[in-house]
Amino acid sequence: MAKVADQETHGPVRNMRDARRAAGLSAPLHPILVHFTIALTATALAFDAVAVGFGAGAVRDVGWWALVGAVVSVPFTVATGVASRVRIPVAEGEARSFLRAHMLLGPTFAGLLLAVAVWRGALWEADAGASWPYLAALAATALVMGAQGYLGGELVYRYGMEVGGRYRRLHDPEPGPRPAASAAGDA
Amino acid sequence: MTGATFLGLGPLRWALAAVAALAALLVLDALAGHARRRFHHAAMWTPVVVGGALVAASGIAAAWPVAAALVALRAAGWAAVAAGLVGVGFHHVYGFARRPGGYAWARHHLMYGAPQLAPLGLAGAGALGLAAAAGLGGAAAWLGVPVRAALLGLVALVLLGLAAQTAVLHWRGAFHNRAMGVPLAVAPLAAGAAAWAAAVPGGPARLSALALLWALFLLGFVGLGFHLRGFDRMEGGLYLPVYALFEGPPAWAPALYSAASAVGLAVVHLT
Repeated sequence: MAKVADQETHGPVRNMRDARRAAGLSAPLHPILVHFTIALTATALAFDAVAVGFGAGAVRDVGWWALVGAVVSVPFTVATGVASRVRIPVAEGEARSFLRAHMLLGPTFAGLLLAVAVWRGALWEADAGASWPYLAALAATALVMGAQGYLGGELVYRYGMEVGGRYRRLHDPEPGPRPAASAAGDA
Repeated sequence: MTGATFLGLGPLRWALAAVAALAALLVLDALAGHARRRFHHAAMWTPVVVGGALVAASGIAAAWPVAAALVALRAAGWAAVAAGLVGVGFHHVYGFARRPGGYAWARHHLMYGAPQLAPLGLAGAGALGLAAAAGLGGAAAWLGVPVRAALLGLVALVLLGLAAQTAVLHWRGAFHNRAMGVPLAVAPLAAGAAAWAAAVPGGPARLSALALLWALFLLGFVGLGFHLRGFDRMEGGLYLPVYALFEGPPAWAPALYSAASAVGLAVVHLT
């Protein structure tokens, strides 16, 4: 609880982390950034599928620009993921196995995304739009992303990683006994 | 030398950008490896300084291929070639021959001594920069070899060197994971395809080079994931990051395959 109290009273600012905390920005960045990567990749797949399947020329370039956004966000997503990993205490066991699989798939997905982005860029430059083989490759990449997102979801919602005890508690108008914490990270 | 542009840049400029990435990874690798030995010899700073210059010169020449940038790239390229070749001697003498046991303990020193082929990576990156600089300067050949063939031949050599070094280090790791054999299968195949494409432009040679170099490019990222996972499996895991960096699987080594493949993929598009 000392850590929570310190966050609430905004102790002395000695470094960037203290400054972030004092400004109320104590949330880990990785779970925020993953949503950009996931959403932008899924958007690229959806719009390219619509463009190819229905011949909708008006949305032909949306897939390319969404993929550019995903490629820009992915290095930050991976870097903040590694930073989160170093910070989270996880004992050997099931949770750590999930975490290791998540760590293996992260760079793999980044490489796949970069490769399909190069392919999509070549199509965009040739003013050709997406093709069925490209769509299949992007769908396979999205599948890997889905597996990666599932593992990440398990780590947060089943094992409570970077959730329990990391945030300032909401104001409790009627102080009293709290229900027992169930997530691993609340300990 | 020309070829289809991608996002406004020609193949040679993309190749140089990949050379900059390759050199940057080699510098990081040298930093980690030499910091592990506490830079006990002043010469251990050489790959950091020379490699850093090659990163800057290749990056600048890729972005602005003006005459001055190409002159700087040639200087940095020759310095990297020289540093790499001298480095092989240093690694062999101080990291192998003069270690306790000398040649009688050859297998031990091969696995735990200074990596014998690592400095050649810097020499290879320097040579790639030199060949690309010749092409960007308008020359049709570098050292008497057509620029495209020279670049693809060098990519093949770099890939073979990486595969040999990987074989030693994965052997040290007792091939405890079956995936550790994959780069030893794919990298020589990609090197062979690159060499074939160097000799025969177009046709099946070009297609096989594209397919295998892309496979190796992706494999580098998968390897990064495996090495990151390997850090976590070390005693202390990622809670002891400096220890894991020094004693665990080499952090950026798999990305060297991706960077070298990227050079080849760009060069394959030269006409």
